[in-house]
Amino acid sequence: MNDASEPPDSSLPAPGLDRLSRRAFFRLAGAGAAAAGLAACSSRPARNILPYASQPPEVTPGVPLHYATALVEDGFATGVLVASHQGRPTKIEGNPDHPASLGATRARDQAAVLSLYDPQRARSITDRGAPAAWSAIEQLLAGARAHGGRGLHLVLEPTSSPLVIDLIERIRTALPAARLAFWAPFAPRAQLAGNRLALGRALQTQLDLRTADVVVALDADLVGDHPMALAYARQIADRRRVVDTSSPMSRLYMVESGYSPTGVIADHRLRVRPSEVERIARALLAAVIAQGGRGAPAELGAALARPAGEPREAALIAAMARDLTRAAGRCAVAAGDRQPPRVHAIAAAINAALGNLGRTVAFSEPAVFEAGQPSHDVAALADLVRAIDGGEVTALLVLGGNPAYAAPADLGLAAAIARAPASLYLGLYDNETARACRFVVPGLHDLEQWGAARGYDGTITPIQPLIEPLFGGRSVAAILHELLGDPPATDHARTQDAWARRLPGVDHAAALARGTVAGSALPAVAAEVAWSALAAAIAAPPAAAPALELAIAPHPFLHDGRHTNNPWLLELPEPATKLTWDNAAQLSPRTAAQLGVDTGDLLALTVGAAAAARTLDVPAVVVPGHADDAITLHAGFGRDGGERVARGIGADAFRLWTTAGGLSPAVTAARRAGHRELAITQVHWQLEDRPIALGGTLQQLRDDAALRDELARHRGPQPTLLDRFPAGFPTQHNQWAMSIDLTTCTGCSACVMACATENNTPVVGRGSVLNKREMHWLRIDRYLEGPSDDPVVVVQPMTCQHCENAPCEYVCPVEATTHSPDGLNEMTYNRCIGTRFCSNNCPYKVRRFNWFDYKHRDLHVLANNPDVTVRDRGVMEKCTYCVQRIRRAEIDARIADRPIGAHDVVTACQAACPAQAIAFGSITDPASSVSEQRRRPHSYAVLHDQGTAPRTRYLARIRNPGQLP
Amino acid sequence: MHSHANRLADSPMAALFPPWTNTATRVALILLAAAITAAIVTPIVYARMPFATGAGDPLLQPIPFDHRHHVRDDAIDCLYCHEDAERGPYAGVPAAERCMGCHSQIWNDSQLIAPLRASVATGEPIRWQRVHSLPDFVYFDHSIHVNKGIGCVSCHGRVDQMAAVYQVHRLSMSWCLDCHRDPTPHLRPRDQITSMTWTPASPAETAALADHYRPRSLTHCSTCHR
Repeated sequence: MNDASEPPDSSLPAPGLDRLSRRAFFRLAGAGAAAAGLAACSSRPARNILPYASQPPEVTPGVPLHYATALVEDGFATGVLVASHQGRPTKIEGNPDHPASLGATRARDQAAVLSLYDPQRARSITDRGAPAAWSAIEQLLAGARAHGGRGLHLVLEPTSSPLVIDLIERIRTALPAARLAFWAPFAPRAQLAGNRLALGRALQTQLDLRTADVVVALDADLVGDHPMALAYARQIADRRRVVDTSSPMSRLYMVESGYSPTGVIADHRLRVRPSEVERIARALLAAVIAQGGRGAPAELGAALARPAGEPREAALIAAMARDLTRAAGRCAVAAGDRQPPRVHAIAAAINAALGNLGRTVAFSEPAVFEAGQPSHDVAALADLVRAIDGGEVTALLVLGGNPAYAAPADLGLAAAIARAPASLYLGLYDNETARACRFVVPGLHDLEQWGAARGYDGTITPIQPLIEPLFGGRSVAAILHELLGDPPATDHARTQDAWARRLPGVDHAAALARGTVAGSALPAVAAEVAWSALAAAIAAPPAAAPALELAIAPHPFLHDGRHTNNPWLLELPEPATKLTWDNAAQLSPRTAAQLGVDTGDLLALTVGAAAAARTLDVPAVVVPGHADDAITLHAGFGRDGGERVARGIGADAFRLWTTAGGLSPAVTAARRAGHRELAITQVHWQLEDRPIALGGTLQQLRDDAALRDELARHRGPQPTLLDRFPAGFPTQHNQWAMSIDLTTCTGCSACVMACATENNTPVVGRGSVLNKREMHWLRIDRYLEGPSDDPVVVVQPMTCQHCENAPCEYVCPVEATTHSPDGLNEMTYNRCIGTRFCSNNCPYKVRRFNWFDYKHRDLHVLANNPDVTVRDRGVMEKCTYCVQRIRRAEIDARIADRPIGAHDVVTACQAACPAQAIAFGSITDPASSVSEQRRRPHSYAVLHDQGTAPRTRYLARIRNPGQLP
Repeated sequence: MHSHANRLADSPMAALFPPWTNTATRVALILLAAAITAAIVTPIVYARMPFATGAGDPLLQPIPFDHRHHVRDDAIDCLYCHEDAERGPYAGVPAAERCMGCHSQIWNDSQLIAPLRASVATGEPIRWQRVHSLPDFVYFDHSIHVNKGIGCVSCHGRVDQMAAVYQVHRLSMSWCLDCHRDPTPHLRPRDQITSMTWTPASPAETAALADHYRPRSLTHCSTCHR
């Protein structure tokens, strides 16, 4: 068959097309067609079966095995379970036993399998780009360990691994002159510094929101961007789930500039610039003290009291203080890491004044080694640059991370590294840092290595490889062992040895099986607020806010740029803007109008003055609800390394990061000539009075019959010409259905990524997204209600609704989309001829068409799920309710001769959701969670008036706003 | 009229087409109809021909493995080698080590099993030719069929009589559906799954088997296509 797919006449001398006569053309075309026909006349293509030479006893081909391991970011582990098909990892699920996962995953955790199979990963040891041997590295490291490590500098990523810490301590002993720095641009630093101000020690704040009735987040994206976000999202959701009209619900206040997932679910959102958060925090502390804060000196409250600001702000602060005081001991105040240490200190003080310490808020030693110490600061990198320039550095080892890209630009780190006499980079990619270094050694992906790391709460999480290193990479530990001159050994043996020494009595194998070491969370440390020290630290009022300020924020999926070569994550719409394949300056409608720009218009952002000015051209994107006079710009773009996908996409926000200005500098913006078409997947934000995303307040749901009646109208009987069940609703099969809770959904998009990984949905690229041809089976729609400058946002996961009276089915001319007896709207790809009638007739617009052949061609094919067809060009596809998982569960239950259990079928989106906002099950079982949810007073069907009888129902978005005084 | 016709024939403007063209046109029309019919029918017939389905076509394997000898003479049960058929989607081809269980003792120096020895020595798999190959968009699961009373012989034929294994049935969708519409006649007791010769003793036995397995007629698309 391969012969037929080749151009048949490619072996003929190719005459110039312009000189090709009509006759010659037909002669060639005829010959080609005949050759193609002949080539097709072979029997079936030969296919092989390759059995194991020695089959591992646990492997049954076709049945995936799951292994517990961890994905590590900025030193913090998230426990995951990885599905492995005969040694090929394909899918990542959360580890329910791991406290930082609780069974859920973030979008970027889901996408880790694609990064593993990235064909553009570094493949061989190089010396200035030329292939080199390991012996050259051995030589370099042997030289580095001479003279007690004098002139040796190491830059590592923050680590919590007991095994790496063991090595670091050995290096400190054996090579006392060596200097170590730990660098990750968005590692939490301000929190530790703030707690040092308030408590006298650099402690890590541990929240327990399970009992929190009121939560105030000061620029803290607790459910989106936090090492513990998955756990906090679950805890917050558990307190906000509306079961019936008597359900209690916590209240969530958010103070922030750009829209975060936490801001989306907040009951009250105060949009302020990043620099104004401190003012709000001070006023809140003053108000809490005024209402009788425990232990807090009244003078401090008086000193902080300022004339009230803008009326809504003052009212919200008063309401926060009132609610917090009422819920003293059952509330929490959290500060985000973009805020300076003073805000964190104030948050700790408010928690202390409310008696929350020991209840909802605790402190522990940092999970990350030496976190909060100078070795983790920007100053450590500045010292390194000074040492290189002073000629003190003889060997520089950069082990992981990408400091040449992700560090304050005015340090000139990339240029300094290039000036170091001998330098080595260990990492996954030939990135900016690799290009600055002399030697590059391929690193290991998390799914390829042995190790351990601590979760945010300190839980020790063993890491085990799912696959042999694809490109022969080496671990950080292996380099450190070599540096110490240790005898050669495998990573596995070294891990077991170090484990036995550092964690005596903890069974490595048992920990690997479970994915955690039970009871290893860091104990709470008794800490009290030192009020006088705190008062001194926050005595000076915050600096006046600049006219316009910039917030350089981690991208919700790419983080600090480490995932920018992952096309899955690039094409995942950013939650606040629905922007793909780009970053853009997010600004409010008013600020955009003042600057005279609209979405896509170019802005020149300038940080610093005169000679030190740094300018970056970025397109603007208007985000209703963004704070005025502020710009949010995501990091991770504008990459300049050797990664071909990442290279040249978007603008590098880190170029505006200076040691003086920090990540929230004052900025000036000017309109630039030019416009960039942005690949945004949703451009219309209004509901136009259509019954799509319904909602109300908890008070209304309790007391307002009008809202309850309105919701009931959207789920009751609906006349239809097409009665699917004339003989009554079927009871003999499972009848699958889904229920999605809009109250707890944060729009974090983990479900979208989980769906894409599970169902082999392709990446289409920026051009196709611009043509509205993105292929995600599940999308998250975002609707705005209320005033355009400060709207209420509702996010709604939208996917095939599996209508009982499906409009797609009766327009298909070839019966490629049909209904199964268990209520699934089936899509049979091999029947589809691509008329797209079904998509035209779908009121939910959830069907996707393969306009081109988007299949993986390279190593990425290994990430495909073997249980789902890889679709070809010209066929329609859509959500199947993860039919492959349903059929698997059916087969297992039939073989075991038992009914399908309530938890046997978990869809990919449901499994990933940290808020457990998605329920799936059979409605023939009245006890199933989906049946129970459909009976709730706020359950409804989208576009119910269309008579489609969708199987997916939604729970209306219920908010719990308080009275503003 | 007659003279008029003659005049036409005798006129310098002779008839545009000679009379034989009438026949030619008819023949051409018939051929065209036949071509259209053939264009439709030929692929339909072709797809069902053993040439296209591969039925009855023994493939040349790297080791001339003879099922007649292993099944009939040695009475080795199907599941001894194809053990995954009970618990996974694929019946599986045994690992080289499984073969070596016996062949380290008997015929261990035979030239015929040189690829087997090489596989065990190097860890490289033996490249068997696939005999039963379903399209990629079909998800067939051995375990549910085996566990619910469908015997090996129902799909694979009398493997015990094959010198080299060949595909017996078309493995087309209509062939699958023949059974999926009414599985009952194909049921057999669980302990007779691998029997090549078992037949129900009476209709009552088939009825009892149906009662035991409660087979479902699964003909909706997502049963096999996902």
